[in-house]
Amino acid sequence: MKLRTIRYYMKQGIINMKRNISLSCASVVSITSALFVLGAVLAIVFNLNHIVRGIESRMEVTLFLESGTPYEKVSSMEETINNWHGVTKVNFISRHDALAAWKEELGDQGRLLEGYTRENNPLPDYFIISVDKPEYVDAIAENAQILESVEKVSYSKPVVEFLERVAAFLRLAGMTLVIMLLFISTVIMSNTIRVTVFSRKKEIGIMKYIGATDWFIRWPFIVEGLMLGLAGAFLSSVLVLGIYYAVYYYSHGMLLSGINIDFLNLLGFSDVAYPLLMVFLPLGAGIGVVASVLSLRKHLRV
Amino acid sequence: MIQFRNVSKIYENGLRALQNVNFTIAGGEFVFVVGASGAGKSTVVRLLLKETGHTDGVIMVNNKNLSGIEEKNIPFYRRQFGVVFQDFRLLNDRTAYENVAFAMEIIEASNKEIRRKVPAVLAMVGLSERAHAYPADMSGGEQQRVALARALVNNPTILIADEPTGNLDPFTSQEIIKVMNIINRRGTTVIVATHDKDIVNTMQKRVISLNRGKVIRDLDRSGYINEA
Repeated sequence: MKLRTIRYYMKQGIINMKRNISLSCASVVSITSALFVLGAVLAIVFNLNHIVRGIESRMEVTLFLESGTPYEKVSSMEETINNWHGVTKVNFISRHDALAAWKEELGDQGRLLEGYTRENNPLPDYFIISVDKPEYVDAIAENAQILESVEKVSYSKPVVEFLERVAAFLRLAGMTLVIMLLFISTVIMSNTIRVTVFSRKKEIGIMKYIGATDWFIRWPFIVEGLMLGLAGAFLSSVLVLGIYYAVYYYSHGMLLSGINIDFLNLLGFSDVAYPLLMVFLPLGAGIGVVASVLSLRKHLRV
Repeated sequence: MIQFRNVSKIYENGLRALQNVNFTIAGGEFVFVVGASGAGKSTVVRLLLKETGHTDGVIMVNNKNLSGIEEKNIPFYRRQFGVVFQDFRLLNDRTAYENVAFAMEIIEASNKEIRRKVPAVLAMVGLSERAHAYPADMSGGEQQRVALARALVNNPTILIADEPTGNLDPFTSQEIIKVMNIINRRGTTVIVATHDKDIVNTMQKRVISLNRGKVIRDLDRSGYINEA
């Protein structure tokens, strides 16, 4: 393909787009909105996955003891737990240590806990069991549950399962919506291109008589679709990433500043931006090409 | 060069456009295909351009059987023809020069070639002065000359004209036909489908007469003979 021919395709594609500018805008808006929803869903799902991974990587089971469990019992429990498969470390934290640690963590606001002393400490004693590998967590939690004097076992699995259910629901609902929107955009876009094909019917006829190949005739329309699709991808990227950027910095500045738990922070901007662009650009371009091919297949007969 | 052997064409709506048509056109000939409207002239043109397929018989062009040409090769097949229509079919947003250059762009000719050939062919049809005029600012005769220039710029071996003078006054029609005659003398086969008696009578070339899809006469150095 000659350079001049490619330039010709590009130029004609742009002329096509300008010829029915209002329809071109409608196609861009519809693709933008479809990709915007997709982007929002993806950003949320990415973050949920990030949280799930973070929780799963903290391979710990916490065992809260009934109040008043005697210390002899505690040390025998510690010994039992230590023998379980997969346990790397058992930490006993007494309710007094827990209260002191909490007070310290709150710093200036420690006064909030001033009313609590050794006598009326509301916190329970607990064990933190460190586990070798995530797959041992379930068994250890089950074992812990049937130990005597155990009030409550807390571990990551139920939270993880809940978050995964939320993510799965979002994926399903979001994707259904996105597929519908993408379908609508494809239809709108293919109609837009159909209108250009009609407006250039005479030209196409002449081209055919002169001996233009079908691809020579098609390319300008494919370029038109491609540019509309990429314009939609670009606009939706700017929207989604702009909003994400704002949320990311706002949340960093305000919400979670006090809590230094890594996995509860939002994924970094570039962790979201790159995958989104990797999805948006090919998707926008793809819809454009599919839409133009669809409208050309029927209407290129002369 | 062109051979129709027992060619029939029945359109999808049942219309029998051609029935058992036979003729042979040698390279370098100038042939009129005449007949009243509906006689089948345009069908002959459409079959030659492979715009539609024939129902029966054999059509050979430059030793190629048209039935054997694949869909994707039709554009390349068409490049051996120059085509002129009654309604000129020019692009209104392009000048005479650009309309002619367009035909070369389509077959991906080089810029250098375009710059060399377009002025030459415009000169040949007598339009050098009007190269940068738009179709809307040109007379019918001028527009048809642009169409002729466009048809010729890629050096076709066959020039096909379907009612080329249908929209022109008698004087202009004669001018156009004269240009075609010049083109013919340079070696291009010319086929003109027409029902314009005057031009057929002045040229005294071979005339193939069609009536209701059949060849009723095929005479050399003839004029237009009215059907009784």
